[in-house]
Amino acid sequence: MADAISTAEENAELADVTEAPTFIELFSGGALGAADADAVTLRSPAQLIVLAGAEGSGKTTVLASIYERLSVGAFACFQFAGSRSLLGFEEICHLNRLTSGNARPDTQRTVPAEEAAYYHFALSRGGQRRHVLLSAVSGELFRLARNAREDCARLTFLLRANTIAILVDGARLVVPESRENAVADAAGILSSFLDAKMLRLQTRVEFVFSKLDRVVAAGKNAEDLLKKTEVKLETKFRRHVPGLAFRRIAARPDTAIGSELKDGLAEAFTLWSESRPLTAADRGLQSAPPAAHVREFSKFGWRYFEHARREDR
Amino acid sequence: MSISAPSQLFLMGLPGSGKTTFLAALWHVLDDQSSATSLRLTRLSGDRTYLNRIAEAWRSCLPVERTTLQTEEDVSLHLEGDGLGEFELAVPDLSGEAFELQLTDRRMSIRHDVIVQQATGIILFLHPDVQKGTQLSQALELEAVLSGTDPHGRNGAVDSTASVAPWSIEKLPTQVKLVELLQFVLERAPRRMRVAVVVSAWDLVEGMGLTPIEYVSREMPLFRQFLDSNQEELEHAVFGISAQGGSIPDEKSSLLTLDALDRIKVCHGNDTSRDITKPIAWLLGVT
Repeated sequence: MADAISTAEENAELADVTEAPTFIELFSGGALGAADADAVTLRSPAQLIVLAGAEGSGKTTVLASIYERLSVGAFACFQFAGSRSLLGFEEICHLNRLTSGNARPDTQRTVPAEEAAYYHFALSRGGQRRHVLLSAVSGELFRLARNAREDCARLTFLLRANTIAILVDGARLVVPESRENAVADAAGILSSFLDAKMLRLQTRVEFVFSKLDRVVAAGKNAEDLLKKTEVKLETKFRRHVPGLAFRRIAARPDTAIGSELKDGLAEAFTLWSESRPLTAADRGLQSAPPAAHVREFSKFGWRYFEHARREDR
Repeated sequence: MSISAPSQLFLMGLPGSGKTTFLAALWHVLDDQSSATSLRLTRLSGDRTYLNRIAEAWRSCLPVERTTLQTEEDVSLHLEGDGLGEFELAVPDLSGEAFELQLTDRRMSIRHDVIVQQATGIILFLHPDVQKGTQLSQALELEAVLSGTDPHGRNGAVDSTASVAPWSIEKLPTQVKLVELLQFVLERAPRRMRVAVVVSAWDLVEGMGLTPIEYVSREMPLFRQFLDSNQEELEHAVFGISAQGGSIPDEKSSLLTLDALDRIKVCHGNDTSRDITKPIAWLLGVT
C-alpha cells in the first residue's frame, strides 16, 4: 500500500514536471488583428490612420514606403522606436527587396479578409513617444462597403480613426478609359461612409491622389485634370465633411521623375500622426456612444475623443 | 575587500556573431593576467572545462566551436574592478540558434526568460557580414546613376522574367532581427538594462574609418534609431572588437606569429585598446 501511494505521488510529481511550460509565447510580429490592436491602444493612446481606396490604388505601397523610409533613417521628423508588426512590414516590403529576386519594385497586395489588419509603429520625436496604427484593408472590402450600407456599417474601425485617407489612383486618373471610374471609386467610398454614419466629426478626412509621379509624367493636361477633380470632389463633399482636405503623394516614385518630385509622403505622415485639433464646431457636440455590439477597438476611439473633448473644455 | 552580490549579464546574438570567440579571448586575457584590464580575475571558477576548451582553440587560431542548443553553458567568473570590489559575474553563453528560434517560433525558453529577468546587462553581438535588406528601388536607382540608364527598365535593362522567391522570416534583414530580439527582452525584463553592442570582427570594417557607433548608424539605421529611442529602458554603448585578430584560416599563419594578447583590438568611440573586458566594465558601471 505504502509503495502504491509512493508510486502515485511520484507519478503526480512527474506529471507536474511534464506539465510545466518550457516556453513562453512571444508576440507574433505579423499584422495585428483587432484584439492585438486593442492591446496597443490600451497600453498608450495611438493614432489610427485608415487608408481607404479601390483595389490597386496604392494603400499597401503607402504603408510599405513609410516603413522602408524609416528603415534607412529618421523619417518625417520621427525616429523609429519599435513595432509590434515588424514581420508584417517586412512581408509587404518583400517584393521591393533584392532578396526577393524580383526585377521591379512591387508591393504585395492585401489579401481580402473579413476584418481589417493593422500595422504598428512606436515613434519618437523630441523625446516624446507616439504610437501609430495603420490599417490594412483590402480594396475589395471598400468595394463591398460602396455597394451596401450593411457592409459599410461593418467597418467599425472607421469610428476609431483619427485620419481617413481615401486614395484616388493617380495611374488610373491619367488613362482616359479609367479616369472617371478612379474618381467615382474614391467618391463612392466617402459617400458610403457618410451614408452609413461611419465618420466622426473629429476624424481628419483627406482625398489622397496617389502615384503622383505617373500624373506628372503624363504632362500638364493630367495635372490640370487632377486640379479639376479636386474642385469637383470638394464641391460634392464640403458641406458634409467641413474639414475635407486634399493631398498628392508618390509613395514609391519612379526615380526618373522622383528625383525632381516632392513626393509628399513625409508631410502626409507627419500630419496623419497628429491628433486633429478640435474645432469650435466640434466643441459642444456630444457624440452618441457606440452600440454595445461594436468591438472594443472601435469603442476606444469614442472613449479617447470624449476624454480629449472634456479636457479641451 | 567587499564581495558584492552576483551580477548577471548575458551574451546575445545571431549564429556566428562572435559570442563564443569573445568569451574565449576574454577567458585567455583574464587567466593570463599580464595585460592591463578594467576587470581582473580574483580566483578561478569551479568548472573551467568549457572555458579552457574554447580558449585553447582560440589560442591556436582554430575556429572556436559554436554553441548549440545542446551545448549552452553557464559561465561564472570571479572578478574585481576599480570601484566594484570583488564580485561574481554570471555570463551564460547562449546559442545563436536559440535566438534564431525566438524569431521563427515566436517563443522563448523558460531558461532564457529567467536569464533575461535576472540580467542587468546584455552584450549584443553583431557580425559585419549582415543581411542588409537592400531595397530594389534604391538598388535600381543607384544602378541608373552609375550607368545612366532608366532605372525602371523601360529601355529593356531589367529582366522581367526573373523568378520571385517567397518571403520567409529567414530573409529578415539583420537589423530587423536585432530590433525584434531586443523587443522580446524589453517585453520580459523587469528593469532598465544596459546594452553593450559589440561589432565583432572589427578588423573587417575598421578600414572604413568610422567609429563603432558611426558604423552602426550607417549600416543599421533602423537598429540605431531603436536604441536611441529607447534610452529610458536600454542604455547603450557600441564597441568594435576584433577578438580573433583576423580571418581564419586565411590569416592564421600570420596571426600565430603574434602574442595572443596582441591579436585583440577593442574600439570604443575614438579610443583603441586591447582591453577586452571594457564592454563588461561598461555594463557594470565602470566608465
